[in-house]
Amino acid sequence: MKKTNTRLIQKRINAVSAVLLLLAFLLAEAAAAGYITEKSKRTFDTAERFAAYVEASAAQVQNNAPVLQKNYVLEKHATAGPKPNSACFGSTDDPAVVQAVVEQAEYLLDGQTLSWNPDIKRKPGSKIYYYYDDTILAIVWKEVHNMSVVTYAEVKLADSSQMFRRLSNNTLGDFVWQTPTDMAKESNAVVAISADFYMFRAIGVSVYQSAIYRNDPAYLDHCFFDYAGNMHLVKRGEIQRDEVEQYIKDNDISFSVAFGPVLVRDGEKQNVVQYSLGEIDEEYSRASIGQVDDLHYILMTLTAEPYYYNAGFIRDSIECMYEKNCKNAYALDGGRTASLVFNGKLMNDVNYDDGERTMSDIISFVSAIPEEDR
Amino acid sequence: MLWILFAALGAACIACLLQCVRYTEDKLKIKALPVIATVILLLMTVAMGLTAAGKQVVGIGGGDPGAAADRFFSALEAGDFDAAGAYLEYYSDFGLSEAPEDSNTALVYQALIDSYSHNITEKARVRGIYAVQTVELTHLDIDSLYEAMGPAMEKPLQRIVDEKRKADVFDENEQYLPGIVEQAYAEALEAVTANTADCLVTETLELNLVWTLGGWKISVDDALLNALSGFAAY
Repeated sequence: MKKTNTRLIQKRINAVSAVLLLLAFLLAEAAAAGYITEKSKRTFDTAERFAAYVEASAAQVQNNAPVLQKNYVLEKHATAGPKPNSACFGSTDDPAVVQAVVEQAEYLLDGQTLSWNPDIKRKPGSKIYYYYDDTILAIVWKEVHNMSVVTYAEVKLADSSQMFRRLSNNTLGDFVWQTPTDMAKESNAVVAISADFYMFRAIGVSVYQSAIYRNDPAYLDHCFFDYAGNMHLVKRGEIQRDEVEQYIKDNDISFSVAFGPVLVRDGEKQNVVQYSLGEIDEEYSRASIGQVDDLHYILMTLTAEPYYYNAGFIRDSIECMYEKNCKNAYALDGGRTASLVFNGKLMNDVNYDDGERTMSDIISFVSAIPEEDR
Repeated sequence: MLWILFAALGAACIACLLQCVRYTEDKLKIKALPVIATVILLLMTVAMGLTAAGKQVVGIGGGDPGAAADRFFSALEAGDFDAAGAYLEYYSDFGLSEAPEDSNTALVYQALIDSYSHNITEKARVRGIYAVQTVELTHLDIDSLYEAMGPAMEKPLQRIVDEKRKADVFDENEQYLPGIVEQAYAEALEAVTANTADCLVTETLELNLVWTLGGWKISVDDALLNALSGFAAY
């Protein structure tokens, strides 16, 4: 009986052991299976989060993209611009109208201050003329100076390619001369000024599209324009004939005018006592060009008009250009040549009975916006 | 899972314990082999129980956790995500093994993957089956990259604006037409992702590792995922 009980107990112990072993085996299987399943399938949602973050960042950058102004640049050595937009021309008696245009031109002015301002004392009865598109702002007005009439044009360009020397018949050294008005129209100038009339005399350094046409620097002051639109003033004696070519290369010169003298240099009025051209101590019609800032110019003629019987001395030109904040200013050919053209019309009186003369070159300021972009 | 293993070991331990004595006739015989197995299983059960309870059992871990961390990052730098995944606890990868479908996002992704580099300067701190390894990880910072994108977009955008007719760039409200900004963005992104030196960041990570039957594995946490995703994930 005892033997039977012992066997029965042993059998039960074995059965319990077997069950426990089976349970241990199953649990181990379960753990292993769980681990394998987790290991083979589990991953993170990093990819989705990463993509969402990158796409959100991209959207933010794109939404914040600044609305840029189109930069219009004319071809190098262009001798005409696109036709100016007739809707952009205007004239008024009211300086507030022009001031509103100036405020529109804030981007073009790029922080620069105009010499023109609404409080300028204009010649009585004279209008203000203006043109503005995204590439050029031009304001033309008249003042009285020592009983002379000064016709100013203030010009701000977007790009230096919009200023160039335009020759008569559009040909270097040509004896077919044209009026400044005709040359201005053919080059589609918004505004233009008569230049040095280089075909009238055989002295000075004449550079056109970087090529030297004439090289005789001894007697005249010179004004060189580089491809960035900056004026470089060189007084007589400061450059020798054999240095001109290197000077043009070193300073990236586009063209030059040879008349003079230098009126203002580096912000200083020049003391001109003697000069071989322009009868500086006699009353003559005067023409000048000056630079106020980057791509910012003053054009000026000083002439007699009805009730304002004086023309001007060179010292008047110096005073006028200095007053208009020119850092550099230079006298162009005066007398009957002195012509300031705006919108194809001569803006100053020519003090000679025969009126506007034909001559050989002007400096043109044009818009750069093609007609299809208006 | 540790608790399941603990239960399995416990069951096996009891089963062995029951086999330690045998009643034959009127004698009680103690069997050596089940006793030894019971002792071993008992120790393992205690260790597993302590482990499951989060206690540290000194001396169970083996091998070098630093080497595992080093191999993980080396595999990442080589672009071998399968090999890297083998060093992760529970997970087969950290979620960035496939390039995004969008071509622009894929550029950023590739720049991120290419940016990984690591440096292990000190030995891991091992406590039982756990270890902490300090790793200096250099990776792309997505925010820095997009900070650089703003200025980088201006040049291609200006070129596109200058090259095209105005009517092909702006609508009547002087806003960009669809596709203009996207084109500039794509060009800028190519340039910026080609040179990300200024957009990299090096951070020190405390990498948690755990010893398993398969060796030391990395316990992935948010800090690691965030670093590996260039701060773009968490």
